[in-house]
Amino acid sequence: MNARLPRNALVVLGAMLVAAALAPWLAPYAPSAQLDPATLAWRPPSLAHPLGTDSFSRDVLSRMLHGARSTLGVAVLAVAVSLTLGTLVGALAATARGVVDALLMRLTDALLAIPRLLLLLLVVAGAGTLDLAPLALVLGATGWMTTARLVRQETARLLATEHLRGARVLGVPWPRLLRRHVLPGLAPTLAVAATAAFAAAVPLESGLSYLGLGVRTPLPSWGNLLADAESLPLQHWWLIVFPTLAIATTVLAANRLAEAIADGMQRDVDEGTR
Amino acid sequence: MLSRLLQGALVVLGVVAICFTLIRLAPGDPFFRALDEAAVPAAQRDAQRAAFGYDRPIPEQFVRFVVNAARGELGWSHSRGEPVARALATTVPVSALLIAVAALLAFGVGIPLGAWMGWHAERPTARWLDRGALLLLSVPDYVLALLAVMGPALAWRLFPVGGMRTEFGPTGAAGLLDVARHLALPALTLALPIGAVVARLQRAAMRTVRDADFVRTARATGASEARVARRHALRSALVPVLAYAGVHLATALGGVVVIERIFAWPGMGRLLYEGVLSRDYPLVAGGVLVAAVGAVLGTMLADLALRWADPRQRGLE
Amino acid sequence: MPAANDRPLALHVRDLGVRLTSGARPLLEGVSFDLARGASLGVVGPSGAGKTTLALALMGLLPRHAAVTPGATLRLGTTPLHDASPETRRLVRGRRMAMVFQEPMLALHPALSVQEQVAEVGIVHGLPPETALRRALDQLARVGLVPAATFGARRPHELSGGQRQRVLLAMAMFLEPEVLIADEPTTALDPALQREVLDQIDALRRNAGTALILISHDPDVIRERCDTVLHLRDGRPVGPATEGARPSPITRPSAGRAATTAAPERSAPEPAAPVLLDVRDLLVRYTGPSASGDAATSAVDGVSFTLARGETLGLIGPSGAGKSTLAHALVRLLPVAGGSIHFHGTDLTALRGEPLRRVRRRLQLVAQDAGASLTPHLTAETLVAEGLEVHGLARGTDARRRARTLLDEVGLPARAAAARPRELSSGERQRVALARALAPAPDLLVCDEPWAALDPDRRDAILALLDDLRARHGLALLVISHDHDAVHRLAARVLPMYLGRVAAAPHAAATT
Repeated sequence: MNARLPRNALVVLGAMLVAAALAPWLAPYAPSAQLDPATLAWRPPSLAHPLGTDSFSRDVLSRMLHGARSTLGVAVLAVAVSLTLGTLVGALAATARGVVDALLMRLTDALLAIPRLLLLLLVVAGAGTLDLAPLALVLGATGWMTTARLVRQETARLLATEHLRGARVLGVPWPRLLRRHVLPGLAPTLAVAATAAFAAAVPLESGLSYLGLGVRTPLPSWGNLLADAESLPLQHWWLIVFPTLAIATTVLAANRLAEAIADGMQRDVDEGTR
Repeated sequence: MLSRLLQGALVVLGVVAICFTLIRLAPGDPFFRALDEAAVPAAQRDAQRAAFGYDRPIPEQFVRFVVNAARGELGWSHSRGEPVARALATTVPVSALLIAVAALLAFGVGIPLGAWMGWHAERPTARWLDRGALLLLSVPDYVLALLAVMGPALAWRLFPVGGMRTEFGPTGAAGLLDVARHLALPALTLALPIGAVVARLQRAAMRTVRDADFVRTARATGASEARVARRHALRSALVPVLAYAGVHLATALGGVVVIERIFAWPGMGRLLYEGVLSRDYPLVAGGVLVAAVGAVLGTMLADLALRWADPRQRGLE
Repeated sequence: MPAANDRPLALHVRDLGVRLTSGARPLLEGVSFDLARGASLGVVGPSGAGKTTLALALMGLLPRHAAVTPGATLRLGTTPLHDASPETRRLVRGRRMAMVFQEPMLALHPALSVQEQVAEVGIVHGLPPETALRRALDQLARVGLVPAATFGARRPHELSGGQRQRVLLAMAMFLEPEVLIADEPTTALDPALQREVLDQIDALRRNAGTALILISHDPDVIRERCDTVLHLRDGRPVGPATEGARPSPITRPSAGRAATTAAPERSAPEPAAPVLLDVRDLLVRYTGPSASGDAATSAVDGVSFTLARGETLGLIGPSGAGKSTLAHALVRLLPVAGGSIHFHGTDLTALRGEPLRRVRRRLQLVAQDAGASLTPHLTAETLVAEGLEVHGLARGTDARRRARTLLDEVGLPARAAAARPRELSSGERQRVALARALAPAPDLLVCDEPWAALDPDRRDAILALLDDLRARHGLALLVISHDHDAVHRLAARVLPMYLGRVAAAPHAAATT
C-alpha cells in the first residue's frame, strides 16, 4: 500500500513502547521508592534525578518509565478490545445490510451520543476503583463505535468495487470472496482505526488518572504525575512539563501515523489501485 | 424532513434506553443501593422506590424511567441532599454558557482560518498552521488547562485563577464583565483543541473543493478568487465541518468535566466529578442522560444546518 | 472558407502549448488556428488527445499543476491574452469568452438555484443583482427551459442531464461573448437530445454573432456543424486545420454501415447448432438515483434474442443504449425486473446461491473496464488460477501451471504472471481478465466494449485474439461495442440496440 509513513512518528511511538516494556530495567530507581522524604522532595531536575523528584521524593524519571507501562499498556489493551468489537460490528453491518445494518448503526450512533468520559465516570461511580485490566476493558468497550463506523464504510465500499463484481462473476464463493478479496483491503482501515483509537485512549486514561479515578497512586501513570503538581504548578514545573511532553508527543505521533495511512489509502483510491 | 425527525426521535429513545440499561442493570444495583445511604431520609427512599418501580418487572421500570425523565424526575442525590433534577438544573446552564462560548470561539475562528489554510494550502504559513493545529489537538485538554493556569493566570496575572465570579464582587454590567473575565480562560482552553480539529477539517474540505468542477465553472464566469472562495467553495466545504459539529458536542461534554474541575467553574462537569467521588450513582446517571440527550439534539440541529448547505441531502450516514 | 479580411478575427492562436509544472512531457504542443468572427471550429480527437486542455488554456483555467508554455500567442479580437495579467483574463472570462463544460452535473453548484447560477455571470461583471436575476429568467426561457420561474428555482440535481446542459449554455451565453467554447456538450445525451442542444447553441450564436469552438470525439457531429476542423492526437495537431467534410482517420464510432470487408473466419452458426442462450422480454430497471430527472424508462426494455453454440453475436448501439446493462444482467450482476434468460435450458433469473455460482462456470464476462475487475493485491497468475480453483478444475501448483499457460495463450509475456494489475498496462490487464474468464472453460463469453480504450493497432490485435480463442475453445461470443466496423468483422449476426430495445432486423441502418 502506497503510504509514506512519517519516520519520526514511527520512531517516537516505537521508543515509547520500548521504554514502557523495558521500564523495570531502564529505571534507575524503584518507582514507589521514597528516597529521602526529608531532603529530596520537590527537587528540580539535576544530574542525579534528570526529571526531578515529586512530593514524596520519588524519582520522576523512574515514575515516568513505569507510568508509560500503565498508560500505554492500558491504551494498547483498550485498542485491542475496541478494534475487535468495532470490526465485528462494522463488518457484520456492511455484509448483512438491510435491517441488521440499520439497527447496528443506530445502536452505534446512540452510544456515540453519550460522552465517553461521562460513561467512564459512571462506571467508576458504580464500581469504585478500577484496576488496570478492567480499566482497559471499559475503555475498549466504550470506544469501539468509531472503528465500527470506519470498518462498515470501508467494507461497504470494498463490497461495491468493480473487482469484487469481477470475482463474483467468476464464481468465487462468498467465504473466499471475503477472505481473499475483501479482508486484505481492510488492513489499512484497521491500521487507521487502531492508531486513532490509541491516540484517543492515551489522553482518556491519563485524564482519568489525573482526576484520581483511574490508576491510583502509588502506582504511577502519566496522568497522576500531573496531579501531583496541581497545588503549586509554577514552582513544580517539571512535574507538569515532562508528562505533558510525553503525552503530547505520543498522541501527536499516533495522529500523524493515522493520517499518513489514511492519506495513503486515499491516494490508492485516486490512482485506482484499490 | 419528517422521516429525519422520526429517526432523530428514535435515536433519542435509543439513547434513553441505553442509559436505562447502564443505570438499572449495572452490577451491584448501584442506583437503588444509593438510596440505602445514611444521608437519605426515609420518606425520600420510599418515594423514590415507588416512583422508579423497585421490585417491579424490568419493562415496567423502563416505562417508569422514561416517563419520569420526561417529567423531570431523575432520582435523589444523597451527596447533595436534593433531587438530581434540581442539582442539574442549577448547573447545566452554567456549563451550557461555557460550552456555547467555547463552541463560538472554536467554530468562529476555526472555520475562516481553516478555509484560508485550505484555499492556500501550498503556502508555508498554511502548512505550519496545520502542523500547529495537529500539535494543539494532541495535547489533552486538562494539560492545556494546567498550562493555562500556570501561565496566563498565575504567572502573568492576566486572568483570575478559578471560579465563576469574584466573591462579593460587582453586580449588574460590571458583574457581567467579571463573569466574562472568569469565563475567558476555561472557554479558551475548551475551545483550542476543538478549534484545531475544526480548522483542519475545514482545511481538508476546502482543499478538495477548490479543484471541483463547479468551482471551475464559477471561475469561468469571471468571478474573482475571493468571491469564488466565499460564495461557491465555502458553502460546499462547510458540509464535513457541520457534520463534525454534531459529533463534537458529545466530546465537548466530556471535556467539560476536567476543565470545570481545574478552573473551579461551577457547572455540571464539576458536579458530576464530585458525584463520582461520593459514589452518588443517581446523580452521575442523571447527568449522563441529560448530556446524551443534549448531544443528540445538538446533532439533529447540526444535521438541519447540513441540509441547508447541501440540499442533495448527503447528510450524516 | 469566408475570406479572412472581410471580418476581424475572433481568436488568433499561434504555437499554443501546455505542460505540467513538474516538467514532464507536454500535454499540448504547437496548436495554431484562426477563428473568424461568428465562425465555428471543431476540435476532434480520441480521449486524452488534449482537447479539454486546449479549451482550459484558452480560458485561462488550467489546473494548478499545468501551465501554458512560453512563446505562445493568444489574441481575443484585439486583446492579447498570452501575457495579460490575471485580472485582465478574469474580466474577459464570461463576458467575452465563455465555456460550456462536460459533465454538467459536476459543473453546476449543488446548493445554489439555477437562476442564481445563471445570474452570477451578470453580477460578477457589474450588473445589479435584481437586474441579473431577472435577465437570468429570460435567458432560461431562451434556452427552452420554460416555465423559467419554475426551472429557475430548482437545483441541479432536480434536473435531467439535457436540462442541466441547457443551464450551462444559458450561463455561457448570458453576456453574449465573442467566443463560446463547448466541450463535449452532448456526450451524455441520446441522439435526439444531442441535436436539440446543438441547434440551441447555433440559434443563440447566430443572434449574438458568437464564434464557436466545438469539442467532440464524434467526427460526424463536427462535420455537420463546423466550418473548419482541428484534429488533435496525443496533444499535437494532426495536419493543418482542415475544412470540415473529412472524417477523422482515428475512430469512427457511429457510422452505421453494413460490413463490407470480408471477415474470413466469422462464425456462421451451423444450422443445426443447438440454442445456447435464449433471452425473452428481458426487463432491467435503472437503479439508484437516476441520472436524468425523467420518468422511469427501463435500461433494458423487453429485449429478446437467441444465441447458438459456437456462434458470435454482436450487439451495437450508441452509448446509453443499455448494452452494458444487458451484459451485466445476463451474468446476473444486476437484478432482472422481468423476462427470462434461458441458458442451457435453465432460467438464470430463477437461480440463486450455489446453483447460480455453479452455472457461472459456463458463462463469463469480460467487463468494459477489465482492469478494474482485477483485485489489486493479487497477482495475474493467482487471479487466473482462481478461475480454476473455485470450480474444482485444478488446485495448487497444477492450477498455477495451467494459469500460466492461459496467460501465454492470450499473448502475455512470462513476467506478467507474477505482476499485480497496477504493474501492467491497460491492454495487458485486459488480457489477464480475458485469461481469467477463459479459465473455467465457459461455453459463452460476453465481451463488453473490449477495445473501447485501445487505439486501432491494439484493437485489431484483440479482435484477432478473440477470434482465435473462439475457434480454439469452441466458445460462443456475445460482443458488445459501439464500434460498428469492429463488431461486423467479428460477428456474422449483429443486433442493434437503442434506448433499451433491440431492433427486429439483424442489421442496422444508421441508428441516429
